[in-house]
Amino acid sequence: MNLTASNISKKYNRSKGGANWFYAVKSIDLCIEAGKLTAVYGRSGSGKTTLLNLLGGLLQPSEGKVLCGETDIYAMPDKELSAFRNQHIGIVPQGAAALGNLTVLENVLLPSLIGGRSSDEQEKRAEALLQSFGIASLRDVMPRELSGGEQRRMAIARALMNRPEILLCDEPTGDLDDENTRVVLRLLRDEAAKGTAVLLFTHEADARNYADIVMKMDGGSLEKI
Amino acid sequence: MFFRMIKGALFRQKSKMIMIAVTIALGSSLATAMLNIMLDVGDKVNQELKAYGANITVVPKENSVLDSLYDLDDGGESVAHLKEEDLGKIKTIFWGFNILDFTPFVNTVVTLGDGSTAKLTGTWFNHHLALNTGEELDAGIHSLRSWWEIKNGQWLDEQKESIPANGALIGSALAARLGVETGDTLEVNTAKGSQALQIAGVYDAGGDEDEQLFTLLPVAQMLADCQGLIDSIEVSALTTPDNELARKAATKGPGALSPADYETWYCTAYVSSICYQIQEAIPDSVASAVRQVAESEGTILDKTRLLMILITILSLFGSALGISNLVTASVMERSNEIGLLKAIGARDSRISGIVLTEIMLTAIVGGVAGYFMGYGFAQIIGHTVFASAIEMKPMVIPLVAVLIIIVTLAGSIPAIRMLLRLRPAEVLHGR
Ligand SMILES: Nc1ncnc2c1ncn2[C@@H]1O[C@H](COP(=O)(O)OP(=O)(O)O)[C@@H](O)[C@H]1O
Ligand SMILES: [Mg+2]
Repeated sequence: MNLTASNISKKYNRSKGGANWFYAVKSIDLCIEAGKLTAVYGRSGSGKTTLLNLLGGLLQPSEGKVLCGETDIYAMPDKELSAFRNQHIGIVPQGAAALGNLTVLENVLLPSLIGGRSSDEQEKRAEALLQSFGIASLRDVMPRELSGGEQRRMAIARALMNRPEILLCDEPTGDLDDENTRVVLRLLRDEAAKGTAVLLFTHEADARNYADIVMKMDGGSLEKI
Repeated sequence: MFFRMIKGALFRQKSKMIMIAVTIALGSSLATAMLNIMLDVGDKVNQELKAYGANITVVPKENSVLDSLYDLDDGGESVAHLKEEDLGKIKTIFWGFNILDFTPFVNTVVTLGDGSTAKLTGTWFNHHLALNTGEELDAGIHSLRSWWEIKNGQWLDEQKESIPANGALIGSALAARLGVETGDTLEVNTAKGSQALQIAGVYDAGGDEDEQLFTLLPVAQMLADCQGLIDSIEVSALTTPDNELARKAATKGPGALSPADYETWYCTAYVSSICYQIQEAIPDSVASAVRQVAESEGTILDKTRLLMILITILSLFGSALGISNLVTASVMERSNEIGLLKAIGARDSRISGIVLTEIMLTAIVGGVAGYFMGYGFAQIIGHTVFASAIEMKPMVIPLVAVLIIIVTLAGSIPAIRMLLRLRPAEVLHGR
């Protein structure tokens, strides 16, 4: 399944009540293709997180449409959109995002629980994901005890839990050392090879060696390089 | 797992949750205190209003003029009298059904053995009346003075065969002065005759009546030399609260009303129309409403109640605002976790549910603590303002619980919705 954005913008008002509009994302057309790893470079403040939220169905665009396959995701009410996101879109948020009171395994299981599926089969899948990401021994550990690289791997495992067709990653290599960066990029490369449409926001130069398509984001606009 | 998610928030945001609990405890304590005081003091005053049942007095026309001219209400013998045989007519008026009780009085001043004087009143205690309407009624001061405390002995029971013809009750102050007790005989004299009274009981009325003697009607009539006559009548009637029409009739007289208004007024149980009808029934009498004090107490009570309701509403409103702020802060602080939940497909309603559960758990703790604080407040206010303990009404508990739930929901739902709907980007930015 492809994820297509047509002419999407997000504008914010800088002065409350005034008319000082600025575009965090400006008229972007983008297609993230199934089976490909698309990497987007961009400085801090260039609008990456905003674009990811727009693409992930988390933030209503001011203008434009986001199509997931044939589905206009913002035409759905919150309930349906949430269920759709749960099943079809995996999101790796910026920073270390985890529910602090749940173990690593429970964190990875969370999407299936929220989707209303909990079974031994799901638990096996979660364990298999931890295994393939090399953090199986950490299944009963609390997230705050993990290193940066381990946390990022857990976050990707969680995003993949429900076998989404689309995977959106917000600086997943943000504060990792070279070794861990390579591990994470390889994981994403493998995922794309399995047919998932992967979008990677980063400022890691190394990423272009793994990506099929490379783009650059600046001031809310996107250009191909 | 769900519960561990909630526990996490409760324990990691301890200080915020404690603040929420304290905010709710304050609101709940004020609501508890105010509601209990409102209900209890309301009951107390109502009891008193009912106890002061006599809300109309009937006197002879001439005396009424003299009394009001010279303020001659000194308990001495009256110049003019009403007829004892007319008493039953009170129940025959248009609003006869609303007449709950009445009793005649004959007053005289008696000289006692030690040369001092005291006021003696002849009356009915629980006089059985069989009216020609077929209605039966026990009338007398036993129920009109229900607040009297009989310290020893007992009420005179007119319906007992064994009642002494010279039985009397003596006020506690007079009894103390004379050293008289239940069972004693007390000799009283007037210019018209003398009588040995047999003391059946000592009462504590908490007022001027404690200096008095109360005896059966015929005894007082003999001593005052007015057989078949009475000085005044006290009537207890159920009345409709006055409105514009009633006030107009009371100030300008019923004659000033238009025929239609007159009809309405006459056929409504205003105290003024009942008085008017009593005057019609009993020749040469003037009936007038008493206990204006109780009425103004009632008005003050109403206003106090309104004030307490306002304080309660304002404090609950304040609590809701406080909660709203704290919830906003708490959600912002956890924007990471909430953003994550949203990102993996949790519905807004589900996230609200999680946050609300935390806050509700906190609110229960705060609400219970507040209830007991409120209990303390109520007693302090009761003792300082009303000089009595406040009885805690069980019905306040569900009432306060409902109020706290409403306030908590009203305080948190808008905050959570606002954060999830209007500013998702801020919640989801992971900053
Ligand atoms: N909710 C918001 N309200 C106002 N401005 C915002 C909001 N979210 C992001 N911005 C602004 O939009 C721009 C892009 O932000 P962001 O998408 O977070 O950039 P990046 O992820 O590339 O660092 C920044 O200037 C940021 O301040
Ligand atoms: Mg960002």
